[in-house]
Amino acid sequence: MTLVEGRPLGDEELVNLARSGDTSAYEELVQRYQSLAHRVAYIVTASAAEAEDAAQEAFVRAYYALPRFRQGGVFKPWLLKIVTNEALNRRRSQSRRSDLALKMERSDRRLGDAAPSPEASVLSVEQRSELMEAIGRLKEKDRLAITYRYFLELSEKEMATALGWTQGTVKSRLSRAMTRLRAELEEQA
Amino acid sequence: MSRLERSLEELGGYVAYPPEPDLVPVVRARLQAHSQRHSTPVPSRAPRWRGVLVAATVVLVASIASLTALPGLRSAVADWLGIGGVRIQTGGPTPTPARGSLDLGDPVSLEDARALVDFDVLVPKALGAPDEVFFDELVPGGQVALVYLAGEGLPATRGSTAGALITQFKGSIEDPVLKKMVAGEPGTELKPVTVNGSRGYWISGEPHFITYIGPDGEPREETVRLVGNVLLWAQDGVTLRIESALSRQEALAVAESMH
Repeated sequence: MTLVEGRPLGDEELVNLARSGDTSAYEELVQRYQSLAHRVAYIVTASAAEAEDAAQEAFVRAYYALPRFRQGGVFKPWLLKIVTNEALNRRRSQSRRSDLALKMERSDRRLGDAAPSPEASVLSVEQRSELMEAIGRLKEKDRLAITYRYFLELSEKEMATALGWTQGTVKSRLSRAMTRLRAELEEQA
Repeated sequence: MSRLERSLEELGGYVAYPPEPDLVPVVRARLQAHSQRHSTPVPSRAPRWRGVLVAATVVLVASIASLTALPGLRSAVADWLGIGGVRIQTGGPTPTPARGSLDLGDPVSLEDARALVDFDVLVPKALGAPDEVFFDELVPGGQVALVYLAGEGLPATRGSTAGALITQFKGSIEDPVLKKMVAGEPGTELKPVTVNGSRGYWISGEPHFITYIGPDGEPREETVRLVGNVLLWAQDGVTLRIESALSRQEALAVAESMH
């Protein structure tokens, strides 16, 4: 890890170093964001292999796009936009029939939880799979709006950059997507 | 927060993400391999274009080298940077004609398209109401595309049943939204023109190969498509493009009838 007086460098400093040709600074950024980039790519493609390829390709592309990165911009959503586009390209060249429902943990153990916490859990296993299947049936943009907001926990501002939508579009699409998801769930029930 | 929102947040915790790969070594290797091959960085492309890329790079470098040998052309090339949200580079391979969809976004009504963007969507009087309208929100600020099917007085473009495609999006000089690679054999002609009092360009000849680049510099190659002749200009902060098989004079007449 690159340190200055014991403090890890911020994204902006790393970006500036990377722009001036410091590849180790860029590796630091890859290290920092590879997990998120991979999750984003998986959310879009629902395929482990495609997600890995998309994330890798995105990091390479982003490096060569650094000279055009806006000074004072925020690296994370900028990177996520490249990941999103790369993943969408792959998603669109996949078979239309491939399943978009994301795989779920079978147990009650949630990601990051040390132990199952029944009191925090509102959804039964059946409800979880119903909800996931309903999301999988949504149109691409509705699905992206919901998963970026609630699964990836991105802010509306970050979503706007990552998805290339205006913030107004993020809001309206999210609200429409929720309405359609409710309709899907009612139809299912 | 609604119950559904809470449920979604909870559901997010149950997504079984595949094991995370360590991308650092492979990204490092790719950057190193690339820097050994090229003295100047060029964007990497998706694998299916990789073969094309090598050829493109060679042709691109050769074309720029020959262009910059001519002072007039050199300044013309530099001027590309100054038009609306568009950047153009010359050179590259002639793509194999693809008959895929144009990938213009979602079909919408003209009224809806107008409501979705914060610029005035212009329609050419010369062609009348478009046959189809598309809205692409992946273009920052939104892009509206008017499609006119080929018919009398409007010949079909290569590899398409469309006679004319008119796209409009917000673009500023500081914020290049679109980069356009004019990939042609020496048969591609670039000509500066004046459209409605604004500077523009006429690109004709061999098929063009288009790459979009977002304001953040991110290439969008998924919208690669073949076009006919292109008239490109910017007015009132909006970049407009007419793609058709029309002649320059005919395309200019269409542009001048836009209101």
